[in-house]
Amino acid sequence: MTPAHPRISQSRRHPVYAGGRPHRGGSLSRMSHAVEKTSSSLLRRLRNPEDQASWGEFVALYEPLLVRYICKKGLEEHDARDVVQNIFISLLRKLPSFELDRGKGRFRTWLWQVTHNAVVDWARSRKRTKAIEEKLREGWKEGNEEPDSEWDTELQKRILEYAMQKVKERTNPPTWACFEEHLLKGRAGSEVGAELGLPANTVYVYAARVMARVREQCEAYLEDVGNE
Amino acid sequence: MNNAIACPSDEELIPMMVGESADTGIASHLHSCSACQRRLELFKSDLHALRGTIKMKPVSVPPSRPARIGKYLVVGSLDSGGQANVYRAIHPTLDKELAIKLSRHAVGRLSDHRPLLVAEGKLLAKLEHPGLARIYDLDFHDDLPFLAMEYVRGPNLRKFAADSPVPPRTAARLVAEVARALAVVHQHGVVHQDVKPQNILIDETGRARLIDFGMARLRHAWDDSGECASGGTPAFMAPEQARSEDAAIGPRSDLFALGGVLYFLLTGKPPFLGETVADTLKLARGCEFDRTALDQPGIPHRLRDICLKAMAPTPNERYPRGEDLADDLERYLTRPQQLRRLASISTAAVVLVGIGIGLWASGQRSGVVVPGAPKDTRPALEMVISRGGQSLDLANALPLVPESDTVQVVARIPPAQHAVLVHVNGNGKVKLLPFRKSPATGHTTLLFPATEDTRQAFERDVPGTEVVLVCSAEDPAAFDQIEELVQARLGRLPQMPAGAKPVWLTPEEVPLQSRSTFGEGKVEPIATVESRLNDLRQSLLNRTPKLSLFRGVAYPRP
Repeated sequence: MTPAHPRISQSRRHPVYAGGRPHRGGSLSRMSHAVEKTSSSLLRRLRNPEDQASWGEFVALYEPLLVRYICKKGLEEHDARDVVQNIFISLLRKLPSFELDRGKGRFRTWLWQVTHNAVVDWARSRKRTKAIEEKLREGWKEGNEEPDSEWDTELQKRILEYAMQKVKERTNPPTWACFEEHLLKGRAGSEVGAELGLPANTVYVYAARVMARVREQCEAYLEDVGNE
Repeated sequence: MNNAIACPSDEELIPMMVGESADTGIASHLHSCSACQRRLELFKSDLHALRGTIKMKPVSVPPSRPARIGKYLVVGSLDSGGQANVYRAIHPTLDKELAIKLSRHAVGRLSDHRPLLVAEGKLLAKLEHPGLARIYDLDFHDDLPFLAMEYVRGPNLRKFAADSPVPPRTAARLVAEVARALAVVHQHGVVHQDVKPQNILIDETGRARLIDFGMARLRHAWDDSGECASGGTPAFMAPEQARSEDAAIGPRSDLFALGGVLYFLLTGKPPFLGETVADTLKLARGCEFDRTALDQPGIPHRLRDICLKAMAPTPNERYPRGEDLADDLERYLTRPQQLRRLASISTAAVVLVGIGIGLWASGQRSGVVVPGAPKDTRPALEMVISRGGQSLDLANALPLVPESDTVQVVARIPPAQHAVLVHVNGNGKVKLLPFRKSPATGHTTLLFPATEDTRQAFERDVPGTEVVLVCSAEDPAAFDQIEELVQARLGRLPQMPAGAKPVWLTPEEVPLQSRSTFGEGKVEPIATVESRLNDLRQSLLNRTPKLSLFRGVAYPRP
């Protein structure tokens, strides 16, 4: 065992998708440079006016989630994108007064509430067709104050998806291929290695390295979202 | 985790994740180390979750959309055009929503255009009017100039009109609002050059808001090719602009395009619409648009006339200023509701609407003075009293000064209509007064008094309560024996007090003023005048053939 490869899982009490408590500080060693930048709370960074990159990252992470979720509630993508603009405006207005640290899961619920209100406002502000109205009613039980399970599912999926995208962007392609081909697609390490001209052991090392980065990235986002 | 053999690293565990055979040492370690068993389970479960996202339908953020422009945070795209993209954004600390127009053309740090642009931005930021979407800021984002503007939530006029038809009255109001906003733009020496429905937004209060008024001034930043010396949309473009006669392009070119917007709202189509842009441009150059489309039933003649005047082929024939167009539209709007309803319910064959009694500066040659219409009466009947070279409207001129005041009336009659003017003097004597038709902008102007003779007769009339009544009809038979009718209904009216307000007569009503305006002792004559005018109104409404319109006023002549 080489100290160059951290044991992320040891610090973990829950699987990634269940949103465990994050690994804090510690010996992130070689990947720490890349990871550290993103491992602190995105919401916290968003409130720092010096942090120019955080808003773009926030939008990239959450816009697809919101569009997808709102479309599932019965809106066309075009309308969903309008609603998402309103959600972002609300968020940016309310964010300064949002308390980050008071318990887990607040942002998850809060974001859902802002989304819910924005969809309801949108529906109110225009003449809805009967079809949309019915679809909305089905997708959205009247008086619902808490996020539905679909929200949690979509939120988690999006975070995993985006975390992988982020890691892929800053990982060199052969290293990424080891992770993708071997771990995600389940192909044999030796087979993947042969294609890439690498020994199977190297494939395992690279795959593990990428996996660690992905988990780290997920944790950073999941910390914001929390989970009850 | 205090096993004799150290716990394996992730990559040593990895083969086991995907079902490959693992090193025997690791396998036996796992067997005895519950912590590593837990790790393996977590790893597998994470991997399962990650694999679950692969099948997701991709929803992307448009990659070209910046997250920030200058200090502003972008929340979405609003529009994208050939020269610029428009984004919705928010000021990071001021909580203000903005629309940001980001040019596609870089202007280098050392370019001469920079100071020019900054100066233009300062000028545009000064333009403020409820009918304009304000410009707050002009700056550069990676050498791309951008304008930060007020964000107006609402559809543009094209979409607004596509969603539901715009009634003529609403069309008139919206166009009047834009005309007032344009006036402010023009006062600052800015010509819009691209007035069209897409550049007019309807905000949440229903008000029209003009956007993009700075583009003509900033064109050298937005398009460095210099090709679009007089850009704009050919579908609404003034002929001189379509012909690129730069010297002739001015505020009236914008008013032409705004007339085109009115045309679009009334007829449902833009004035110039060819198969190709080149065809459209050709039509615009020749000012060839279908004027007859404005004659269809349901389009008020008054609005048609305003539209045609705004869209006159030569700039000099058009409204000189935005205010003038707005004034005309607002005059149309302040006509009594009943009158319009009467017009709209009449048969399609009878094209109605139309006596606006304007004013006539007789022999003054000083041009037309627009009197402020009194708010507490019906402003549609504007009669001008000429006194010592001054033009006053009737309500402000009372009491009349005997022997010196002259009463002047101009009624504008649509070409298809006939009209009469009835005068009742202080003794109750009814006369059908001759008038002169004079062709003006698409309608007939009825001048009264028309000749020196009638003026004499009119001026020397006896003291008492005078009445002037204008009627129009498709069929002149509607005027048969109208003198007798007026005589029968009005008779000799009691003398109104010299300072009393005029009493107006419209098909809708004779508004009652007697109770609120005067002390008890004086109520009587006014009430009688009102009641007799109301009788006359009923009779005029019931005539066959029908009168299209009528309008009258009673006022005291001392």
